Formats: sequence, C-alpha cells, structure tokens
Amino acid sequence: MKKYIFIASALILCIFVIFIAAFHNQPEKPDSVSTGEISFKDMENIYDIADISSHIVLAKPLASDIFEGSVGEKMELKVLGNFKGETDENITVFVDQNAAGLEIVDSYILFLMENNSTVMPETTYSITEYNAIYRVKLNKLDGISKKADKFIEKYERKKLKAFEEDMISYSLENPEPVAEDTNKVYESPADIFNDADAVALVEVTSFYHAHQYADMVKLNTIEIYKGQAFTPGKSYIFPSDDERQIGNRYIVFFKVSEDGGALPLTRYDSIIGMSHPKWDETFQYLEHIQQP
Amino acid sequence: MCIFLHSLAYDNLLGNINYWYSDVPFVYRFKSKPSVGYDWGSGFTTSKLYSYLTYAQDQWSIMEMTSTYTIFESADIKIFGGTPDEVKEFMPGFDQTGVTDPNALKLGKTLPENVPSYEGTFCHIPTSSYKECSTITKMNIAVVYSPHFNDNNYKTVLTHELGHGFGWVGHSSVSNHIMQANPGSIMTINNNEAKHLRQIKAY
Repeated sequence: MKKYIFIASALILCIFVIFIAAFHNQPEKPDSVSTGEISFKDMENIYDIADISSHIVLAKPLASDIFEGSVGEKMELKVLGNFKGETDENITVFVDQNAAGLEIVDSYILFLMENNSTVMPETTYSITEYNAIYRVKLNKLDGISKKADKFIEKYERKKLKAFEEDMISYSLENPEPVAEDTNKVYESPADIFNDADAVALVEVTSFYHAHQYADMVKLNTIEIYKGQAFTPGKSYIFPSDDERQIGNRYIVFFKVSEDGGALPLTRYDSIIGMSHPKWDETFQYLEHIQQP
Repeated sequence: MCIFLHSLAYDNLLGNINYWYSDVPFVYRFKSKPSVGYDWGSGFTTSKLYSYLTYAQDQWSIMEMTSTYTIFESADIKIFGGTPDEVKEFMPGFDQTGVTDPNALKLGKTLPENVPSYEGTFCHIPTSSYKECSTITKMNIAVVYSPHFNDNNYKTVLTHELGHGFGWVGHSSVSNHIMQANPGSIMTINNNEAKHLRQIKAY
C-alpha cells in the first residue's frame, strides 16, 4: 500500500513540477500590443483614433492566412455592425502576426483604415491602432492589451451599447471623405487619358516581386503622352505579374498625388502590356494625339 | 524522470540574459550578419534616404550591431521609403491614408518578410522570466515620406526601425530610449538599448 502511495505521490509531484515549468515558460501577457511602428504622436483618446479611421466595426474573424512579403495575417472577417462608414458583409484585414491576438471564436471592435488600392485586386483594411482592439463578450468591451482599456474608461461598465452610440454619433459629425472609385472601368482610351496625371510608354529595366500582389518596377520612359517622365532609378509599384520580364513594354496611366506619390489610376486597364486586348486601340489613340 | 520531463517542458533554453527593455517577451535574431539594401519611391531622394540610413547604421554599429550594404533585392533587411500611398502597397497593413493630422502619421514600420522560426527561450535572470526567441532571415522596413517631418526626424525613424530590423520586437517603455513607440526628438541609442540586442546576438 505504502508503495502505491509513494508512486502516486511521486507522479503528483512530477505533474506539479511540469505544470510549474510549463507555466513559467509561457510568454508573459504584454502590457501593450506593440508592433514595429514609430509615430510622433500618441493617441490620447478614443476620438483621436476614430478621427484617423475610415471605419469602425464589430466583426468576427472567419479565417486567417499567413501573408508573406511583410509577414502578417490576411484575415477574413464577418462584419456584425458598422459604427463608422459602411463595409461589405465580409472584409479582408491585414493584421500583424502576434500583435492583434484575434481569435476566431470571439468578436471584436476594430478601428480600420480602408485601402482602395489600385494594385491589389480588392479593397482591404488595416488596423488603425493596435492598442484599441476590444473583445466583445456579454455586451461589454474588453481591451486585449492593458493600454486599450484607457480609451474606454469613459463608458459606464465598458458597455458595448454606450460605445456604439457614442461612436455612431461622433462619426456622423465627423464623416470620412468619400474614397475615390478605384474600380472604374473606362470605355475609351480618351476617357482614361483625361483622368490620368501621367501617361507614357515605358520599358521595364528591373523589377522586384514584393509580395503576392505587388511588383516594384524600375522604368525607362520611351514616350511621354501626358505629365512628366517616369524617373529612372525610382521604383514604381505595379500589380504583380508572373510573366513580367525585363524589357517588357507597357502603356501606363498613373495618378500623381500632391505629395508626389505615383500609382496606377485604377484597378483595371491602367497598365497595358503588348499582349493586352486594349493595346492596339490604346496605342493608336496615343499615337494619334501625338501628331501635330 | 521528473528532471527529464522538466527539461522537456522548458524546451530549448538558449541561455541567460541580463537586460530586457521591451514591453513584449519576444525577440528575433539573425543567425549571421544581415545585409541592408534600400529602395525608394516618391518623396525621398536616394541621397536623403542613404544619409538617414548611414546615420542609423552608425548608431547601431557603435554598439556592435552592424550590417553590410547590398542591393535591395538580395538584402536581408530591405528598406523602402515612399509616400503613404506607395508604402501601403509595399507593406499591406501599413496604411496611412486618411490621416488628417500629419503628426498622427506612423512614419515607419518593420515586419519579417517570411515567417520567423521559433528557436527557444532565454531565461531573464533578474526576474526569472522567459523571453521567446525566433530566427529571422529577412526583414522589411517601410518608411513613410511626409513633408511635415525633417531630416532629424527621419534619422530617428531609421535608427528606430533598424533596431526592429535587427530583431527588437515591441517597444521600450524607458523615457530616453529611441526604441519607444513615440521617441520624439531622441536621436541616439542608449547603451541599455544596445545591450538588449547585443546580449542575444547570434553572430
């Protein structure tokens, strides 16, 4: 009998030691949800974050994939409520791996920035502030980092309803400007030419595949039809193309922002290669307008 | 048996470390000296970006964290500088458009280019806590151009982001550290910040 008691005691001791060791080995819960970002201004209250967000949603993660190129998660979420702006029912959000701590079983309040990219095939979102992510349980908000809680202290017992009413009210008074329509399809070369800031025939001198959606391309300008020449040595971001090669020629329609940023004008037909069905029509139009 | 199981539970202990200034218990590290390359879109000129990077390299090299220059495509640490619209295409998830207050811009961000591989844990002696370490092979740094910030600001940004590039995950909570999330006018790294990375350096 004593033998069995001894063995049982030894086993219990082993389990205890293993438990303590495993517990010690767990990463500590961080004080903040930090990423590798740097800024020169701290967010002081919830309105600072709301101001710079295009959307505020209550959403539930559905699925997540690793996104290599700048490692994060490309997360699909089902939107359960919009508190600022309107989204589709399902949205794609790029989330830093490790940083957000979003789990598929829970629902979250997220402050988002909409990316109406002309390089990516669809509208995506990014997290505005990692220290303002809230798990919603029993109609209450729970910051997933300690810092997150400071932004919602004003809401009595951190109730979702109080937050929702406040954010909807604030957002109605401070709406986000309407985003440009990046899905516009132009019917004629003249239409897209009129809307573009820079139109040129260019040749690829080198390129780098940044991630599954984008190539960084250096160009030589062969012919300028509108705007300024594309700067040699500078990288321009094109939608990725597995068949891209050095020496490829494209007619490009770019928009140039006030800060000098240059990107394709729209998602469709802004970069026309020689095998593109619109190449002949577009090239003939541009040659025609070049003639004196 | 207990000792055996105990050691298994501790998994791969990488050794003891004496300093810790990050707000998260993670660190990345390169197994060999990383190379650095840079590329630019709009906003920055190549000479400006190079001067900021040289400054940042000098800061960390003083503390024995060094790297070599190479072309962007083959670099272990890739640095891309561009306007907010361009940077968000290089690094999806780092979107600064829609920011009405230019001071609220996040000016830089660093992420691994591919998934870090878990290496083990360090034991942090002063508090007997454990710090998880992963090996990295490629890091991407994005730097946002804004006309509202000056050369000194960008020297701070590049020094801070290069710290992340060398493997610093999270931020420091110490007020005079450039590895704070918001380092303000701090332009030099503190000796303790260098110790944080130097003590786990694998090369």
